[in-house]
Amino acid sequence: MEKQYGDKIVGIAHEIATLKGIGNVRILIQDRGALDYAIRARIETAIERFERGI
Amino acid sequence: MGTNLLFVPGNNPAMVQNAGILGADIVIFDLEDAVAGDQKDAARSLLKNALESMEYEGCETSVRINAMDTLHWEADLRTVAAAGIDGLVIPKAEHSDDINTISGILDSIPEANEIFLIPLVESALGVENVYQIAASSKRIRGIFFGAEDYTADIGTVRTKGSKEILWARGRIVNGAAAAGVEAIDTPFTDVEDIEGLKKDTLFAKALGFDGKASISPRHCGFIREIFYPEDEEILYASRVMDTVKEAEKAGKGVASMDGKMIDKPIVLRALKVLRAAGIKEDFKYE
Repeated sequence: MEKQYGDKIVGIAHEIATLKGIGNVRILIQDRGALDYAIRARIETAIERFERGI
Repeated sequence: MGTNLLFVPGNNPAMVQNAGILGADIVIFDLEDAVAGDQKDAARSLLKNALESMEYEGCETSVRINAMDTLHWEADLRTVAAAGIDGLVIPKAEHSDDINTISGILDSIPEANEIFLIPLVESALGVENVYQIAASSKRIRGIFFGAEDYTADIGTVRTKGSKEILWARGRIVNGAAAAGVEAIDTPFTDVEDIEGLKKDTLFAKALGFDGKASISPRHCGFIREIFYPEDEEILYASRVMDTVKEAEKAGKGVASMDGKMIDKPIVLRALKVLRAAGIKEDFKYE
């Protein structure tokens, strides 16, 4: 899965982190076959929770 | 509006992505009861991204936001309204002021011009105020009756016989009709009991409801089959509307068809049949 979609998933993470103005953080992604929209949502939520200190 | 509305948990990626093929006229993505308190933000983000990236053809999409006595409702509303949704289901609707507040926010969001509202009336006070709620905004497409919370509120037990909700059902239908919007019946919650579902749906239709919600895709087809008009009914209703429009065009005060006068109740019934069949008819009875 990582060979096939790894670059794309990492690209989405970078894109959202950039949009949110987040740098110098480590994002751990556990791939379970989610579609793009679900990956985006999960990363957005993780960043927003990080910002709120949750 | 359509005859069957289906709840889909707003936090379930597989169901959210397949919602358009489950047989519903309107899908209700649920951010309220289906989502735990600490997962509200994740579900909201999931829906936002789904709405922005997916096409739901063959059904309209709506979201049940959280109730207005929570911290979540406004974020829900603003997020999904901007992401592209057809309608919003407003839970625990009790006052016309609440609907006006929501309409006011939607009016300020450019993407939300066409968004319709379906207040979910599910308390004793909501049932008392149903007409005021139904008439409170031009955005309202229908009133949706929620029997589970309602029976808890009046201190009784929900049964399959549904005697305990008969009065409330009648008041919902009456209030919605008086305001010129549709009445949507409460879901039948026993997913396995198809005969019970059919019986309950036939009864709701006989009471005057225009459609019914469900919590299982298995129920959608049965609900549609019961509420969807017969071919003869659609044909008759179309002829009624053609006749009325021709009479109006000719400046005739009275229209007649097959030797019978077509009066207002016949026109209203025809409009209801066409609406249930998904046929758009802009005729307004003066």
